[in-house]
Amino acid sequence: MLLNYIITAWKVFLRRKFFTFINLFGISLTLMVLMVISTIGESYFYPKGPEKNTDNIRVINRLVLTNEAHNQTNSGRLGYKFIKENLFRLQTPELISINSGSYGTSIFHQGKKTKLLVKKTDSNFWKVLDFDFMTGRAYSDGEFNEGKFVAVVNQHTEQELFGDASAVGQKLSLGNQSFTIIGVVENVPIVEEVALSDIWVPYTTNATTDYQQETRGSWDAILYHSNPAILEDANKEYINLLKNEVILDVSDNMTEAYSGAYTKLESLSREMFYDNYSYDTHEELFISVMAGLVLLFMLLPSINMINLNVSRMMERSSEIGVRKAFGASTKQLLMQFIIESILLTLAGGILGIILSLLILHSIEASGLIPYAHFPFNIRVFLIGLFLILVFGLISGVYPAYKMSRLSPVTALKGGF
Amino acid sequence: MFLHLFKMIWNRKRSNSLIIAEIAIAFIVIFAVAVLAIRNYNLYQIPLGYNYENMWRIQIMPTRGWNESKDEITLLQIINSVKQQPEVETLHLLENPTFRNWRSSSSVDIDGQEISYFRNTFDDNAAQTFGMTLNDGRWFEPQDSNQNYDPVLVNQEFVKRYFPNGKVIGKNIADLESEDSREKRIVGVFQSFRQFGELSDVVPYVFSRSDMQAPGKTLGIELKLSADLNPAFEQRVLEMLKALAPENNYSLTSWESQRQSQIRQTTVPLTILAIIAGFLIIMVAMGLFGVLWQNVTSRTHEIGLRRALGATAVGIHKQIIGELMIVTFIGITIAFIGLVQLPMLGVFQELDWPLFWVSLLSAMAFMLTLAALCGYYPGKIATMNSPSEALYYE
Repeated sequence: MLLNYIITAWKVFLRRKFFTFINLFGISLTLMVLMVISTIGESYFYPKGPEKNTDNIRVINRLVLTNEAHNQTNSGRLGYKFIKENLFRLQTPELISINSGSYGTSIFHQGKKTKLLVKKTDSNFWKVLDFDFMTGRAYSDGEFNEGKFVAVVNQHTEQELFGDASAVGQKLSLGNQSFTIIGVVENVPIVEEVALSDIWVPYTTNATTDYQQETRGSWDAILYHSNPAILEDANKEYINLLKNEVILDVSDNMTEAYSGAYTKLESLSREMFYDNYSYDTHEELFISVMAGLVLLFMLLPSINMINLNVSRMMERSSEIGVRKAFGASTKQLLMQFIIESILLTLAGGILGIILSLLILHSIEASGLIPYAHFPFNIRVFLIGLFLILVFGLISGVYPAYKMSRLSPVTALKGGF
Repeated sequence: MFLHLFKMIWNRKRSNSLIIAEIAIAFIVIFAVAVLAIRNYNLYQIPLGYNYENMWRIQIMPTRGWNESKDEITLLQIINSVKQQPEVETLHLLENPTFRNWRSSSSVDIDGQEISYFRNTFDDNAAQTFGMTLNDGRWFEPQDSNQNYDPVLVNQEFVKRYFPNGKVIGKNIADLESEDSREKRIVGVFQSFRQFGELSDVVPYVFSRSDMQAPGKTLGIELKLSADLNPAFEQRVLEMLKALAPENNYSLTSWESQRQSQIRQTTVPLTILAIIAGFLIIMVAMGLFGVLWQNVTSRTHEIGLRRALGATAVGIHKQIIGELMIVTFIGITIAFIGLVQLPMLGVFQELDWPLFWVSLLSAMAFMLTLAALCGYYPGKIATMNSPSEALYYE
């Protein structure tokens, strides 16, 4: 039976090539856009680079300080002093790593200028994140504590500065300081902003220790626990600490602190719906807004397909009439038309997936998103398949319903 | 004629309603693209108010807070040593950089009127070097130091918005009632200084004066260079600065490159949106085309009957396109009822009435043309039906 439907569908598609083309075009483009967006989103939420253990880390990169009346507010990143006096009191996380945030710098090497990002970190940074080393190694606790002038660079930096030669053992001068490169890691995709940089050096090599006096600054902290469930408690402990026993500068007049240790989803939704005086990150709102946008985007192509399918039905009214006259039930016809429409969406969907792979590949090649890497992955493929089915059902059910209810007499006569 | 066409559409309202919905949504998409395109084009046409050629900025990025007594001396040293470089033509102070969204804003209550503006500071001759135009009053002058007031310069937009009668020279814009507040006296009006670049709104803007001898906390030094910058110079300056004050980080960027990256920040997402919208519109156009084609084929009898009763081919063609135009117009009207709420309720501050109407009319023109194009060929097919063939079925 199913085979029969498929054969009929194939014949119908071939008979009206133009209609089939319009349908395929619409489905494949819609799915292509959705797939590209979900792949980019997927690479953010499920990182493949150093943040691949994303479930084991939470990041603190925002701190809002305010007074009781909320008329004097400072928001920004954390200062070293705040981290030292508050964050280091947390008991739950197994490891806490802090880094100075990354900043751009110009590096001059053999008369050539290269713009690169530098991040100053501790040695825990290499334990909480899962970097893939091409050659060499990370700096150890000992090297960090002694303030050794050692650096880890990414492949891009190695390529820019030393060409095909190995960077390990080479000297790298940053400002007036000269660092020895001890390791080379794979490029970090730009969406992994916690790990992101081109060059990593120990922050103990700073020329002065002035940075230790600041409550606000440009620092990020990463909390790590090998068990994600316990890590959630670390966030609760942190918020509790902020509410009840936070230590702040008396001279600042600030009495309240708002911050949180966020997962990837939480930091994104916090950026979008930020609310200075709350610990809430509004993920539910974020998810519903995103789902709403996707539905809105699918609305136009769906209506378009419904329209096309409805009008195609006119042409087949005599076929329906004959089948009804020979005793086909409404249910059988409904099934047939839904299968037809799903088949069409499936074909369009496969085309859409191929197109999206091409687009993603060209985004990678163009360097529009630095260090982007979008390999084919099963999760996105399943999302795509799901979207195809939803799409096929949305655009197929109404026309099929309408078609199957035609009365055989009018259908045979060719009317509607 | 129209009433007649309308009646026919009404008779087929069930099959037309989905087409109308499709047109309404497509129209909203076109409208959104038109608003963004027209708004950015208009903004791009407004002069910047300054020149960015050969201008460079040294950005000082302290790793700790500003120390009043210590850091001003360091800053003076930095200024003096950079000034001595042969490539540097002139050197000025500017607190907030151009082509970036770093903004300082203030708002005060003067005589019951709320005055809010963006502010910046520069030194005495900066305006001339930046190539700004003076419309009224004077620029800052050395005798402005040690006065019992702070001189400020305001832009034309500030005057237009808050002093419509045009008399602003000598007026105060500081809230004198609050403690330790000094008078801010307007000494001049300049045409404009669009700090946030070509694709930003024209906003009220106020310059305060900074003194090259006592710069206070200024983290930006603007250089006008005599020629193109070479890496050797850049390296020399950055290393010199790092040696002078190792506690800071420094960057040296040209206004031009900052401008390009800022324009890109706006245009890249807009281009992506436009491409997606383009795909949607092509999809809709092809959909309409297909539906109409099908429609015409299934109405063979009706059209044949009309031909037999003496309708001309042109008449039939007109009827098909006319029907489509009316359907399109209904769709646009439904979308319009929704869209008109936006400027009425002031949902988007940037969407004012002139922009709304211009965008609406261009979107309408586009939509109607598109519909006419989609209807042309199916209409033509309809005229090719010979009456005898059509009536054969009856």
